[in-house]
Amino acid sequence: MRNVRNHFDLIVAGAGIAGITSAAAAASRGLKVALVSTGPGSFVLGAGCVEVQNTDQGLHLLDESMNFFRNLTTLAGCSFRGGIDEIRYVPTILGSFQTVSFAPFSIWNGAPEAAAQVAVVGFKGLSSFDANFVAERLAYHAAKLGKGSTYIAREIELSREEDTVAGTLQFGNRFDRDLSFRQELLAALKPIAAKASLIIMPGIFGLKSGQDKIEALESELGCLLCELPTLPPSIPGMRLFNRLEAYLRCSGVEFFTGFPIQKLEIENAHFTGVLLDAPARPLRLTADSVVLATGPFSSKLLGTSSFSVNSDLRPMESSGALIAGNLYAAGAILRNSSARGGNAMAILTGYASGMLAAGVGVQYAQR
Amino acid sequence: MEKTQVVIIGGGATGAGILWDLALRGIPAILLEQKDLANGATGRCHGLLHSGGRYVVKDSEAASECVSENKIIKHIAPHCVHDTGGLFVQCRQDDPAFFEQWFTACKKIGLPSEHLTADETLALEPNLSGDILGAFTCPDAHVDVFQLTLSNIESGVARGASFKTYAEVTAIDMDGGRVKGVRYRDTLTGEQDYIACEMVINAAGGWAEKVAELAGVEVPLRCDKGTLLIMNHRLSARVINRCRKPGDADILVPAGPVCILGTSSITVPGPEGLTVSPEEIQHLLDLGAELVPALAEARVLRIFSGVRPLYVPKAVSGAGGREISRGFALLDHESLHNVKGFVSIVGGKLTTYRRMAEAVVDLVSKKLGLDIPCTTHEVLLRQAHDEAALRKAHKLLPLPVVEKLDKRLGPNLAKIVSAIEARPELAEVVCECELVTRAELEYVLGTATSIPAKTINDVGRRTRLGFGPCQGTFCGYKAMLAGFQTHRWNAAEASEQFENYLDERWKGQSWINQGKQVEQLYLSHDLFGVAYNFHDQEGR
Repeated sequence: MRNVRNHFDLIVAGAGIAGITSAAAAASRGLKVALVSTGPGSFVLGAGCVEVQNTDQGLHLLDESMNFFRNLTTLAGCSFRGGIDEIRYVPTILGSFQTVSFAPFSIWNGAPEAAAQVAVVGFKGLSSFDANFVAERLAYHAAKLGKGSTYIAREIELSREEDTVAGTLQFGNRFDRDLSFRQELLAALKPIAAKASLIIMPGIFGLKSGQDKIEALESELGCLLCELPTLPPSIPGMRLFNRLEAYLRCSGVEFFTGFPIQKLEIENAHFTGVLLDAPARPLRLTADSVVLATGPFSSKLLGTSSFSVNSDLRPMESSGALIAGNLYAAGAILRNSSARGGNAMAILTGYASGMLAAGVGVQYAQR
Repeated sequence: MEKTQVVIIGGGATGAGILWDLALRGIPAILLEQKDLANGATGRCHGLLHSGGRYVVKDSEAASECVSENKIIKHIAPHCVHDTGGLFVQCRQDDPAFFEQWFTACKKIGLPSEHLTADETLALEPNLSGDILGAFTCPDAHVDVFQLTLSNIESGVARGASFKTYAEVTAIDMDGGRVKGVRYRDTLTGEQDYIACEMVINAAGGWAEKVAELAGVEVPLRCDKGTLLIMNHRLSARVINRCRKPGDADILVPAGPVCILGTSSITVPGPEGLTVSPEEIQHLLDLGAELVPALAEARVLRIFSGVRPLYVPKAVSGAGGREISRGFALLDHESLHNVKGFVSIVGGKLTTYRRMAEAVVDLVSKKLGLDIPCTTHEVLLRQAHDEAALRKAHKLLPLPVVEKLDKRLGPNLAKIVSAIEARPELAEVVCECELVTRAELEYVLGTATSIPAKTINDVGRRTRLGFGPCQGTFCGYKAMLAGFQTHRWNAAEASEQFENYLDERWKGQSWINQGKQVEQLYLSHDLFGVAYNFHDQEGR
């Protein structure tokens, strides 16, 4: 009994970096893909920065998968900078530097070598960010890294819509839809940009705006912009998700968002479909194969608390038998509680699983 | 160098109670605490204001003490007490003879109790196991241990007493067998100082043995570890006890929005470096679920341990933790060891802290040649709140915030109200679980309070900030910024404060091995772990 409308070549479960990359890889090979998720995964927490380290497996695929991901972000209008051999220090809201290999361009900009004169800008009323604190700590850490950049703190005031508080979500939303807000921001930043070659500020450059809008702001200011993800939700992370989602939709990927997986249907070691906890009645989707990219706390979907995968990312029972021949795992569901693979592993396994599901003979682990 | 009459060592409930009692009797005193107020066993217990039911069968003296102190605390410190009432639940698998014994013993010491049928009990507490036989009522209550300790200190200070936190006593200075003073070290700045005094009271709880050694005397203590689990929801309206011989995990205390299950009883070498095993946690949860089945599925927010500092005179040193009396011992080292001017107060329990303080201060005043009666049983611990300020607060803040503020701050609410009137942005709620406003945050970090917070954890003990599900991941960061903005810390200190705070918060969650709180912990790690380079200490 196959409902054509609800049948796919591949179901990807989970819309974090791993799931998105997996769906994109499979779609690029012509697969009809459904992406089911409860929400935008870990995108709401961070900015999507990638640190290539502790990825002990699949290193031969690293270059290929990172290139794929970088290409994807460029096509989606939210391009990444960096490379697998690069190490760059980018600022955090604690005023420290975090090492990354790949990052959205607006974060990549924040490295201390990028500029000599840096202004850290806070917004009046935004209580969860303090420009003085961040500037003072960045100056300290930059000096420790032997970088000569100087950091000054500045505060600007942005108008608020009636009955709203100053919050990155409100500002980000207005950045997207309100030209006068962007002009106001430009006017407020202009005098600061006159004396700085880089401005670091809390991320408010829209929840879905393309990088062209940020670049336009940069060129009008004549200065680089670096945005910091603040306490969740992270505006840069949500923008990245929204851009990638929009791009994948255009590429034919169907999204089923907001529905937890009720059941994974596996018969005789063969995956047949998923039951989604949709309003009114469960929604059943079927597919030829499935990628589980459901995050670090989701192995119970497989009816087990821990599992291992074979060389092509297919989960095995402790006996070594495959749980299902057409089931792959990607992203943080693979990490045991102590390992840290982060986004690099998510991109790597996401790419590999999507390719494998499309029948492209990549191998995750070398035999 | 300072000079006073009495130095108290230990800033738990007992030490704080002693400071207040001395202040009421007009005896000059300084309290020294090595960390923050209520940091030891006081801040690591159930927060149960015992009715006496727990001890009534085996230790009627301790039970009688509880009966009277329960009434007194409810009278003098209503702002610290949530008078929930309690139940002693009869489980099918427990000894029916004990039920009889329990009820008879209560009658004998005047502990008010009534019997409820199973249906009546379940109507009151639907989360109890449907399999119970019935229950007895009792006047158990929840007491906010932090507020209780802070109120004693604050009231003492208002009457001229003083205290120092993060002041570790390094030596007790003696001359001819008589105490002359104490040396202490500020553990935050490293500075050393000296206080000259006539008497030293050792109220150091689990650390009392160590303090006594400074005076060259032996105080034999048994450190008995109790582990407690804080659950995300309040699963009962009343304190739930299991009606049987005291054992593990047979008390569930509703504490504001959460509830606390405990405890275990394991002898440990000392009050520091406590660890919890996964087996211990599972054991507590399994036992707790016999009483309240929902505990099996509930989310554990945090796990912590404290030690009961039990006094073990040589005669009973072979007994197990639960066999040793919960009564307290007042040790006059002049008559015991010929050390003049030094007394220790050990054992006892939170519920009887006031009586312990009374006993010590009676002895101390006698030794000082004074004859002033104790009045801590009748003088209210806090002045009435300011009605006008309360009315204004209702206009400025949401009702639940005002209710919490009123309980926490009483008359000091007026200061919060005027701060918000001057700067409306201070009305922002910074900790959404415990409803802490920015105004209150700045107040406890500032100099307008007599008990300022020196660390972010201190802020928690004063306001309950960070005690909810996020465990400080969001509000701790904001508290750090507030400390920076109010000049409590410079940027480097603020950053270090936050790192220490996260470390402490993570420690309390690290024993939890499953469920939603693990996800919460990962979130916290993902947000801040990288920034602090916890995996690469060089980069920091």
